[in-house]
Amino acid sequence: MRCSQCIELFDDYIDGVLTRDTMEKIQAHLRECKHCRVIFHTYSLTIRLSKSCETFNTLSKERIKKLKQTLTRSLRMENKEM
Amino acid sequence: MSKDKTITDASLVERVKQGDTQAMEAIVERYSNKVYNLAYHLTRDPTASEEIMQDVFLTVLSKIHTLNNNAYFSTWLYRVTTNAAYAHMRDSRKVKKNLEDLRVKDLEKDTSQIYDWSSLPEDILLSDESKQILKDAIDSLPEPMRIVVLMKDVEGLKNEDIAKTLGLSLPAVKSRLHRARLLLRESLSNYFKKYATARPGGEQSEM
Repeated sequence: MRCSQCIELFDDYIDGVLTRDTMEKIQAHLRECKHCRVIFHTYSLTIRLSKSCETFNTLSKERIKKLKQTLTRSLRMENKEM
Repeated sequence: MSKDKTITDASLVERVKQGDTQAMEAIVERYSNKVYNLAYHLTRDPTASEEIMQDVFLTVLSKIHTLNNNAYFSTWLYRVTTNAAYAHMRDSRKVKKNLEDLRVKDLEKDTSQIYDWSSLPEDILLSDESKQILKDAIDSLPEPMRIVVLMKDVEGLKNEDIAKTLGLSLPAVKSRLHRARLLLRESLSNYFKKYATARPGGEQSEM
């Protein structure tokens, strides 16, 4: 397996959707090739770190309450129209 | 109001279709932060995101009868949100679309500075500074990649749902995701390489 092929398959490898044969080929390549191994470790960790960027914001209770009031009004109006 | 998380979206949606305001409130509880965050990730504008969120839920109410399969509610909701955010961005600035110009550096030939920063301690990896580096790197991705990586890695959506939401094929989603992740990895590598000399070897944890 070439390095570029190996890297191309990282996502499927991580998701575990490859055939057993291909999985084994990737594992063998990663054992032999330090370059790809380093990229694989850091690539996997990049995905994990991205998850930690989740939810910068939480809406205030008042904002959610206001939204509910607006929507309730709107829903009641639609019910009347129907 | 029901806070029961075991109630499915589908049954809540059915009740909203019947005009049940409590079910609608439960949907707001469940999704308002998600809708707001997705809008915020896309627009980077807190005020606009609140407006988008309100518009999205109003659209939901007026169009919910057109949703045939109630189980697809969340996918549909994310699509409505993405469309609203894009509409806002089209108005305020040009959306970059030059995906074809993008080439990820050929990793095969790039043997310089291959440093395994994955063995760094958590307090460095998860420091505020490194998180900021990553957020900035996500921000500077070209739009088509940014939206995919935000939906998948930050918001945790499934590839299939992202494809449906954005009207893309599954291979297109996967290809954008892969390229985005490689670019983010590169940005982090550039940042973390300053620890390479302080921690010689880097790759001490052999597999």
